[in-house]
Amino acid sequence: MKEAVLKDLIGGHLVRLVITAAQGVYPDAYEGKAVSGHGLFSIDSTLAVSQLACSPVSQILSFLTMETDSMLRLGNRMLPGRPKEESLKLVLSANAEILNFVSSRLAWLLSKLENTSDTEISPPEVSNFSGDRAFRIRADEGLCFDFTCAPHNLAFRYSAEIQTLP
Amino acid sequence: MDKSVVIVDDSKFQTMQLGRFFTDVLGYTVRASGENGEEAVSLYREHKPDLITMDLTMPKLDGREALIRILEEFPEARVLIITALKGPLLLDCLTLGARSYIEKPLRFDKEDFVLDFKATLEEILKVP
Repeated sequence: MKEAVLKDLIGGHLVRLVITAAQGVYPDAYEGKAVSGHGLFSIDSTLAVSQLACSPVSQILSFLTMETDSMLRLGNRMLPGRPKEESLKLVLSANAEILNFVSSRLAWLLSKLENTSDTEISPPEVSNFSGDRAFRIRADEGLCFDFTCAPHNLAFRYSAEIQTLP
Repeated sequence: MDKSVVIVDDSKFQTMQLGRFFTDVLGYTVRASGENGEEAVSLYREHKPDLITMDLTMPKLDGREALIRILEEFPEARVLIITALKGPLLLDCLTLGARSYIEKPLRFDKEDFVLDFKATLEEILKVP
């Protein structure tokens, strides 16, 4: 399957998938919209959650990033009264859970599209991709969506790099 | 008598959500929680709970391998898989002996979801 086909297919379902996952962990409703990419999407965050879903011929590396201010506000909404550090850890863990749901569904989609049972996902990881370590995704291989909850000034970004073997 | 549960998930947030649900809604005693398959095996061995819930995608030892090890040692163990995964791996776990599964995301805010979760637990606990 060509990358462009896979990308379009996934892109068509991504907002619904992410919002479904977010409903399981966040107390508020989010809206999602695609970020138009020219050249590169950049993952530049000290606390980026990433996860790989892959089949023998395709791989989808997903990222969920959230500004620290948003994480703190979200932490206060989800877990009021908790110490800041604990609150941040739990928000990160909630973000990882969203990514895990999305990656699981993407792995399932790959298995259906490629008629294989040999798909895998890695556990979600939290990494520092800031500054020199920023991870860049070519726009023609990538998807990027912003999710916002305007009433509470909360936002996060889902990005993915999609690659297939020729 | 209170039922006991061990919760294993690499997401601390999910573990917290499940812990609250089992304690506050179902009246279970949460004996322990872990975040990988190795801990699942050792915590089951240590606590022998009425139920252990496990995610499948976990570091160190994944849920499938942990399930195999637990059931080798304790064939009567009641293992409930809680996962976002669909497909052959989940079916494999059920074939290997997991009692049932719950699909993520966990919508504890939805009455239907909670009722289904409770019904699943009742079915599992009926069988010794």
